[in-house]
Amino acid sequence: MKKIEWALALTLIIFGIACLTFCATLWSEGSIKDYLTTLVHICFWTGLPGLILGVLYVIVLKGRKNK
Amino acid sequence: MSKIVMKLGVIMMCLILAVLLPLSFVADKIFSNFYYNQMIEEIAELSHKYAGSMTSLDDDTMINMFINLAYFTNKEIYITDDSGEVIAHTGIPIPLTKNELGQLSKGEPIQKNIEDGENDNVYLGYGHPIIISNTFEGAFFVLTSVDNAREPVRKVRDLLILSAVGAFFVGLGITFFLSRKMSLPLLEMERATREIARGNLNVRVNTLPNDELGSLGKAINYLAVETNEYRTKRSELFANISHELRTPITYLKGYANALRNNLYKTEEEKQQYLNIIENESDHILRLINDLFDLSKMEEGRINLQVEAINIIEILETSILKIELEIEKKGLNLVVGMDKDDLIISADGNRMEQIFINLFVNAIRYTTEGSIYIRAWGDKDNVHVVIEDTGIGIPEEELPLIFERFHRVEKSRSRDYGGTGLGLAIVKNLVEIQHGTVTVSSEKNKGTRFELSFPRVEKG
Repeated sequence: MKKIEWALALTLIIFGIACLTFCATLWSEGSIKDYLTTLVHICFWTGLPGLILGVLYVIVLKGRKNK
Repeated sequence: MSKIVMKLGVIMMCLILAVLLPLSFVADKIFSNFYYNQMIEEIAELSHKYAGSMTSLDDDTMINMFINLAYFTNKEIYITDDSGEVIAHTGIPIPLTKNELGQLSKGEPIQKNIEDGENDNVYLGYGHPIIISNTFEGAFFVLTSVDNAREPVRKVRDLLILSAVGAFFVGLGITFFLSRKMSLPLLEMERATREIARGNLNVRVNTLPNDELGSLGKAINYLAVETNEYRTKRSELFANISHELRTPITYLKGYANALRNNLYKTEEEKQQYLNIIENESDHILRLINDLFDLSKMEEGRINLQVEAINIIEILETSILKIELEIEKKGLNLVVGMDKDDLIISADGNRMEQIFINLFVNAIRYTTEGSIYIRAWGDKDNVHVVIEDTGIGIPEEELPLIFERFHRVEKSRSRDYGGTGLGLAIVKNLVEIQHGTVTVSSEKNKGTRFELSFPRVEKG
């Protein structure tokens, strides 16, 4: 992937996560801490499928190596 | 951006939207219904409590208290007597119908939607009967404006839409990244195959994931290597054919020229020249016949007369044909064969061609010593060994000796004769008759060829 393509993909993801965080914190107390906590939670839920896939991949890879 | 990336991206985005849009709709419906239910439960509870706390419909202080309470709780109320007539209200007096009155008089609550024509507003209303001393005295209705509910629902809907847009952008970013990554090996393979089609056979696919795509990439690399090898072999074949033909033709031309210009001194010399011309013509004919045979075998167009044959008989016939040559060269022939019939399913003439090719080679490359021929059978196979005590083959040359025009010592090829195709023909003929041929050799000690064929029952 070219640098511009990486930048485009990352911009879209960051923009999307910012939208989600804004929605989630609109009716909350409105502190920076609250915003950041929500942001981390959203990042976690976004990355969770990738995390699960990564763990499964490592398990399968180790299984194959042991065989 | 390539088409495959676009296609993959569009498909993934469609999948994301297919999940996101119905999910957003359902979330909106769940929230709206939940909010309306909460409102109805609230006014039902209030009307039940207010109706239960009424002790008299004539107590103006109490009625005013409820009107004030309605103002503070941002609700509308109206109270009716036992005939359904409104006796107190906060602005929306709706008389009861006979059915409603009948239901309330039985002690059952009623729920209704009320349209306020003046303010163009819709209200949700819930009424409970006022029971004093076990007598139906009237009804207490609590109303709430639907507009009050619409505003928060609208705000939540806006936030849901914004969240969906955010999720869409996250999905778009991830889709873009994944479609690029997933299509990368495919794009590389497409480039590689285009290069191969253009004739650049040194190109290779470098991105080889551990899946079917990786397997396809390896196959493309293998194809490039094989095609390259084929191209090299074809060029070598043409070069070899040209080389093999050039030498005898040069002889033919030279000696024919000598004869035409009477460049000979004696009749004996003339006969010698004619003999050379005849021998070289035979050599060219043999070469062409061998090439033709080999080409037919490689294309699978050779016709075999396959039948059950006794390999001992074929060997004996072949030995008869080369015995004279062995005697001329002063070599010993040692033959050891099973007395039992060794039956195989093969073409007798082609088997004879195989043995004669191997015998001729053994005689050609053996100057002194012996040639051993052995044949025996086991339960499944028939084995034939042809061994000589000749000049042998260096170990590094052994894998190449069955290739066309391969000669161990190129400079001495004319000393030993032959077309350079004998062993290639042997290998092809053995393999198309379901046999195997192996060779072992030691330089200056001799060479041993072992042939094996599946044994069959006689008849």
